[in-house]
Amino acid sequence: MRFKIYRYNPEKDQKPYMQDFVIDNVTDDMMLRDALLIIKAQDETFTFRHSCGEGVCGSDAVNINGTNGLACKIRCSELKQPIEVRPVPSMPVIRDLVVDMEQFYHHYRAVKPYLTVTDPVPEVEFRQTPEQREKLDGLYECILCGCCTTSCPSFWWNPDKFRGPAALLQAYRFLADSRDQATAERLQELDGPYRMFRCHSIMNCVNVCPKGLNPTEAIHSIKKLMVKDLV
Amino acid sequence: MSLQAQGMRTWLLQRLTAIYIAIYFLSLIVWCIFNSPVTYNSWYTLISQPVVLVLTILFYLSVLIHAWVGMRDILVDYAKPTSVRFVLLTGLAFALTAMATWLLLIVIGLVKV
Repeated sequence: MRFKIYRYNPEKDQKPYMQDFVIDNVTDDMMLRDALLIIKAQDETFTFRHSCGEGVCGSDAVNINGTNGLACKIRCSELKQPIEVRPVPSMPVIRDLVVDMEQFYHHYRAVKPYLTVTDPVPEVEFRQTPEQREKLDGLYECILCGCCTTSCPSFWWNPDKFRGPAALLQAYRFLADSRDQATAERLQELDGPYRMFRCHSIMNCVNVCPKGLNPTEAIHSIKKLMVKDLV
Repeated sequence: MSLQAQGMRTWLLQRLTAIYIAIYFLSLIVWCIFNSPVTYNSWYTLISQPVVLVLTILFYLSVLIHAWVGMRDILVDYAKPTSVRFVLLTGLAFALTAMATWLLLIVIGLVKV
């Protein structure tokens, strides 16, 4: 099976280049991550991030044949050859497939992804009805792999100002939480022409999310909350 | 609306004007279907009615506002250098204001006759 892998070592290379690799005995159920590990065994200067190998940690987000995805969740046999693997778009490359995620985490931190409660905290536990808990389904499952944000054209144009789909999904995760009491502050923070309103519902985020989440819908829900707040 | 217009308000304005534009346009098409063939005189009679005239002015204002928000969105996305963006936004504002003024002159002309 043939591979074209993006290679870049800023200490040695003038500019990035694509390197060809061939590996034999690829089984039908072999994931791209397994193939990358075999390639790494062939050429140990090649590097990429990975950890759990089960689509849970979100470490191995890469761009595969032009589409973002988790290397551990995509079968090699389902991909068109040569399989072209690049780092996720628009992020600074540290080396080969490893990118600097600082900007992504900055936006994540900016939406304050934690419960904010002003009332005295209950002595035992917060109570939620099953209906209230249900509202968090499709929001809390995000593994912060960054597939969505780095595939979003609005993020490409304004990476420093637009929060990106992952951070906005998390913003809504806490807006939708019955226990959270910072709704007004959260909405205030997201207003303005850039932070959320750069989203033009392109929906690349929905297409690539390896967990099948829908950030565009979450962004629309935030807009609905804002309209409610306004009128 | 300033160049620095807020996200929520401009977004809402764009949606509301879009709805109005759609309703006005569809009504006009329906009118055309029921009154075909449309002649200069039948068209003139329709547009000269005060209610229709006011609705038409609102329609054009909606188009201008809608265009302002949409074009501003494009420029904010693609025109990166502040100077370029400023010149383009100013040019856009100028062009839209000129169109609004022209519209006003036409409407005044209509009312006089």
